[in-house]
Amino acid sequence: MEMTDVAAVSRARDGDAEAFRLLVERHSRAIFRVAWRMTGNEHDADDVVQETFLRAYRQIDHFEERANFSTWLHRIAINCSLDLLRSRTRHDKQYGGDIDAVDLSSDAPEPDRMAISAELQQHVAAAMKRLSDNERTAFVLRHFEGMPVEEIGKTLGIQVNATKHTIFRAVRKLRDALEPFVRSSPCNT
Amino acid sequence: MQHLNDEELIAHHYHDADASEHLRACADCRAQYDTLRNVLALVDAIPVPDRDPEQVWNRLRWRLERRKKRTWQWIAGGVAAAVAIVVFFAIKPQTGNRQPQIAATNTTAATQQLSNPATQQPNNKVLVYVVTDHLDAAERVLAEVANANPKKGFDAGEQQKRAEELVDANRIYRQAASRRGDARIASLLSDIEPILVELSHSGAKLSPDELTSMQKRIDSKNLLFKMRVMSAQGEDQQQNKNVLASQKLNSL
Repeated sequence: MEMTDVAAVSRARDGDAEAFRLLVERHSRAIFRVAWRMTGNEHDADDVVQETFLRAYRQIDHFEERANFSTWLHRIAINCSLDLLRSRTRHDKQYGGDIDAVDLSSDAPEPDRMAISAELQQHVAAAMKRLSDNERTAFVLRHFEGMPVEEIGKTLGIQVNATKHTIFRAVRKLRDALEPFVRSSPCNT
Repeated sequence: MQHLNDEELIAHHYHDADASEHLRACADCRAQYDTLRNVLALVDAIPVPDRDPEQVWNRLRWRLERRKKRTWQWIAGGVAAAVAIVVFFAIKPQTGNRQPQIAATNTTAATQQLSNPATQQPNNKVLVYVVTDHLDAAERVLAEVANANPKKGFDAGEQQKRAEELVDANRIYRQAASRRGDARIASLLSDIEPILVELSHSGAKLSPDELTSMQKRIDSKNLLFKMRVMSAQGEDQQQNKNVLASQKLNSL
């Protein structure tokens, strides 16, 4: 029988490296996804993944067993991503400043996702690039992570209303930038 | 009929509000909402790069092991410091006529340490310890270059920045090693330096040819292995230093 997260955490607390390895292997893909979406950069996302698991390892005694390990880990990853974004200059913050450097052309697209052309990927990348850090973070947390507005507000340190407006602004910017493409896109079904 | 505004449509999409009834009745708003959904579906359709969990673990394991070692070093250092404080305060009230004797004992012990070849800490060993952190940082940068896929070229923006930061430190450590006559450290740092310099001056992207050439240089001199060995020696020396400190305190 497969070991549950709670059991693995308990063993990892006792110094069982294999148990921690299991947690890393089970959750690293999801953590990479959120980190990549928040930072928009593969190398930054790799660093965030490493830092997330290092912090989790250091703080594993603080993890409450009744909580969900994945949620706890995601929270750490979001904070690591925010720390990284905040430590950069505005120019560096947004997808490296060069659209060619944006890691949106993966060799291994997820099979359950719609295939979109490389050109369209660049347009989406450009649209994401135009979002401010707060807008991109709020959008990623609401849209991809399904996080409640109140919690996003707490994460970003802003009021609920301001959080809502940040999400609205992000979606509106994306819509304005991508609306011309949805009619010709295979997504428009 | 009053139409839904953007905020209401977005709130409906994320289930923060329910505008289903209006959308059923109003074709204009339904069209607006369809556009919004299609745009968001387009964002969803961007493929996310994948990471092999095993590779993530391999990179992490190395860092965890290093962290563990350092934690023990700190603990050993902390214990030694705590013992020193306790010994100091235990001895202090009786310092009257015993102080000169203690001072003499310490001086003799220190002289013995320095004159004893078994416990002597040569300058070059101290240097190995000092450059350990530098070598760790440089190794991470070079490992990322060495492990990149040459067929795809390499987005070296991050490594370029880190290399820039490391070049000056590398030069200073190399000069110090040469002055102190540690040919092994000086030679390793000399081998690393041109690669760091080249990386720091490279464009944000390395072409496949540039990447292959850099990888060959790293590989031909077995740099990553040498850096790991040197780092490990630095850590061992710190541990020995802590043990030595503890022994010294115990001898008090």
